[in-house]
Amino acid sequence: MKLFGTAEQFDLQRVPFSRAGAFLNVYQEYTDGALYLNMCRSVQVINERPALVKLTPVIGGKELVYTYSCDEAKLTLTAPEGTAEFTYENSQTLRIRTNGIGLRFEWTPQENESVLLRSDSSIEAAFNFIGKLLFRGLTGQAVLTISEVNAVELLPDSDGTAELAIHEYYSNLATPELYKGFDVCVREMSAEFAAFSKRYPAVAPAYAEMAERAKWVVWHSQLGPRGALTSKVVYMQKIWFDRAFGWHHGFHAMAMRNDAKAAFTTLLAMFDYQNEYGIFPDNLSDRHQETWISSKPPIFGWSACYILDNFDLSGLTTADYRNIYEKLAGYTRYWYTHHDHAKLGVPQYYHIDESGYDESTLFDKGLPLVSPDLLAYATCLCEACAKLADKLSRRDDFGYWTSLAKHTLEYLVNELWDGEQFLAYAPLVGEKHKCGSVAQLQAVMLGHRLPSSVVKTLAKRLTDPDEFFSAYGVTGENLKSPDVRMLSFSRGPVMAPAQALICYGLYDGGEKDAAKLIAARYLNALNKEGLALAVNPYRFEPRDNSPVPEFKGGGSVTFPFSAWPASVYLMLAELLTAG
Amino acid sequence: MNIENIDFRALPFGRRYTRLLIAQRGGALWLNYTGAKERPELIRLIPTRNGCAVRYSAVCNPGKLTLTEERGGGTLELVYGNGETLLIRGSGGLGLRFCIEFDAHEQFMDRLDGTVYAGFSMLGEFLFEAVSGVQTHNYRWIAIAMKPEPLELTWEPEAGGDIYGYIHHADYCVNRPAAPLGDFDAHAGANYSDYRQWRAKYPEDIESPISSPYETWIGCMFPKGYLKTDFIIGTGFRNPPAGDYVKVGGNGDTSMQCMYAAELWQDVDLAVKFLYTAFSLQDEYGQIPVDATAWGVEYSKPSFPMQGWALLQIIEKAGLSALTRTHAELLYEPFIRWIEWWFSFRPAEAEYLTSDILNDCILAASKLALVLGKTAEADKLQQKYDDNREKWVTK
Repeated sequence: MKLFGTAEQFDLQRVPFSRAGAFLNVYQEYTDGALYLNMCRSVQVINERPALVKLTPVIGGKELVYTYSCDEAKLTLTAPEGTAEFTYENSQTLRIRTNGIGLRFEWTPQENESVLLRSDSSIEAAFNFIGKLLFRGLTGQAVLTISEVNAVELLPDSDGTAELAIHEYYSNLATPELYKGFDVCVREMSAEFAAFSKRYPAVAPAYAEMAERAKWVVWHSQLGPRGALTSKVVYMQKIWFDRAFGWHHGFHAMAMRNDAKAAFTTLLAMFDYQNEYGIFPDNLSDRHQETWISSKPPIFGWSACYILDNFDLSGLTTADYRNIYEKLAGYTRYWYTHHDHAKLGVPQYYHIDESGYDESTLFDKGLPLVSPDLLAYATCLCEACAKLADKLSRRDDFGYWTSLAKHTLEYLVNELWDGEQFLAYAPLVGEKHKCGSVAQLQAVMLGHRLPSSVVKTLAKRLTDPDEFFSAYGVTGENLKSPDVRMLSFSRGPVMAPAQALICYGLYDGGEKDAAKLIAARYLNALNKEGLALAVNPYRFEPRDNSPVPEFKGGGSVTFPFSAWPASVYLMLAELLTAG
Repeated sequence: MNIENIDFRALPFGRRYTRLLIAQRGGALWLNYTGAKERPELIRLIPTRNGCAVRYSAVCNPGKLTLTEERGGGTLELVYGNGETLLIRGSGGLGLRFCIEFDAHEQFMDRLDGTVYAGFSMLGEFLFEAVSGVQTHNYRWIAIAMKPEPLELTWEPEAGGDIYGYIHHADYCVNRPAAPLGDFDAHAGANYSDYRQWRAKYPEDIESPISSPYETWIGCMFPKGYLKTDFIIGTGFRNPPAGDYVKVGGNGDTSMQCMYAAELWQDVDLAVKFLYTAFSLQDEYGQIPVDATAWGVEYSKPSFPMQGWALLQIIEKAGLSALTRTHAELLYEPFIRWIEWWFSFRPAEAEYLTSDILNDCILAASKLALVLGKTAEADKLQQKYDDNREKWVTK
């Protein structure tokens, strides 16, 4: 299936051509429309140098006009004079085959960056911090030109064809003696993706095409183990947000309905970095860039409960359950100890990034904050620990976690529900705080655990077009709020994680029609807008009608495809397909 | 250098095995964190009386930094305690104000248990507690900006009293220091004594072209992140102003470790230990990266291969007999891999470098082979060294 291309609905400006495990990718830079080699390593969380090596089809030194398209295993550039095809031999080797044309690779080196012609005529380009690329001509000829702009030009043989391998590595590489045939590489890459796809159930025809893209994005966003990555994690993106973030893995896991073992492995990928206190970094990369001053929402109990209740668990062993339990129990204890220095008996947010609602009105009264969404996550963490303790016949642990889950849920319902929504409690100022953020309704994720009247009230508000229900799904902020901002992260746009949490909660709480209504509207929006973290239902700000400019860069939450909404898409497509 | 009154404008107040630094910059006093290249002004410290800033003079020695009020006679003393902890004692009615500005996604929070903390991206968390005196702050969160307003945290003495408090750093989950804070003056004495012991590793009359013993002492860091061994984070060949010291405080030039090692020849164990730091970062092919910090290793270029020169310096001054079998076992294989890397991955440069610095590595490896009793290997390496010399002299 053609996934991306100049003639397709979506192109490689929004997601690179890549494969699982690969740090080297090909993408189209939005500012000049050219294709570039990209490496998903950067000093900053948002890659400051995504357009690394420009790629241009040439013949006789003349640049050619071309189109391109890619499927899951091959990218093809087509010019009137010939073609250039790209695939991967393995996660560190990009293979290129040209017919009738050559290819030029150009880059502007930064200070102290070198390029080296090796004794076997291969060419090594070193990029500060990012790593190295080795261009090795297999047929035809790779020629190096060094100036202010370095260039490698792949020239075809007399029969008009050429082949090149580009190796990616961080320090050094011993180049292989033998290479596989190009077509073999394509077949193997395709087969690997097909095997991965089996983790997901079939979805209704309306969602099948985008689901295919979604699976491919998740598949190729997997990185590690390599470098400082000790487990296989899923990066958010490979062009801009070049990091793995904790809670994304909860969504990735829940989408893998056909494979409980893979789902738990994915769910716990970040737990490889769990410290002595039970927590792991907010985000990390293969270069030891671990952000510890915050973490991400503790979704893991909610995800684990869902998998335990709904997946075929016949492939799991007692050892698996023990492993999951010990990791989750340590993590849950962290939230109840290191996030409750004030001894309130329930955890508090200590950092905005722990909520996923970074700049939200939820935090108008500052931190620490007893927030309803956090108590919902915490309830599920305790419940998941109780379920696992039960499977391991640990009766005392089962009792402890069950009691703590009950206590947390009671605090949420008895102390924070005001009849319309949940409030947040800011102990520093001693106030209960009501705001327009959907975060204060997100505790609906608890579904059947909440009183049905609460779920019903929340369902009504979440599907009210005057409040949160837009043409694209549930907005981050109440549309009547003076603080709603479509040009923001969490104050307006329709965010992927909130749609999954809300729809699954409503469905589980008996409000199936509301769940399906929101899910269908959201997926239809993604079918049109693509797999971006957020989609904007309006091109103007609802509060004052000022225009919302389109921004295509990496800092925009509404532009790049990423693995996170891809898994949300797969989750909701499955929910709608199952009915 | 007058160690009893270090020129605090040129060098910061630090200690071995802590990344915390107090530096003067633009006439102001800053608490910084080694490696915070982009944030040389992290937390400003302002001595106060009754809430108003006071003028002060500073006297710094390796044990203690003393700030004395110009009028009024109050003092603030700063001493490094256990681990990553800075102890602060104020007397004579002086208080202290901390001024902090944050970037988006950074954090200040009152934990409502008597402690507050500030968290900075990649730099970790700083916990503040006034054990004696009153701690107050003007925290206000700006939700849309995702950070607190510029913040003032104040320690003020209670009527007629003094202040005593600490700042404790951790990469994550910062908590009150596990061990008791200990005796303030005892910490000052112990730190001074530790410096004296470090100083004694150097010749009495050292005129270091690299850096002073005080600089290497405060630059000596415990293993962290990518750094698997003690590592001297240095300033290079110059003595920059204290602020710039902090700026370049993350400088982890691996070849510099060789110079530090060579200067420590009087304590061969320690010299070998620091010579090994660069080798501890070798990749699977034998390359030593050009630069390393806790947060990153730079393999895009190799280290300048002066490890052989450093070992030969140590041997020349301390004698070959000072090298033990343990030293040789630690260094021999890494030296061989390093030499082989040059000939495998940088053959043209290696050929040129055998005229000088890479040939020193070959000779050093020969000496290590001798210590290990590998006479055949030693002879082979010595022959290679001689051949190179011959070749280059002829050329």
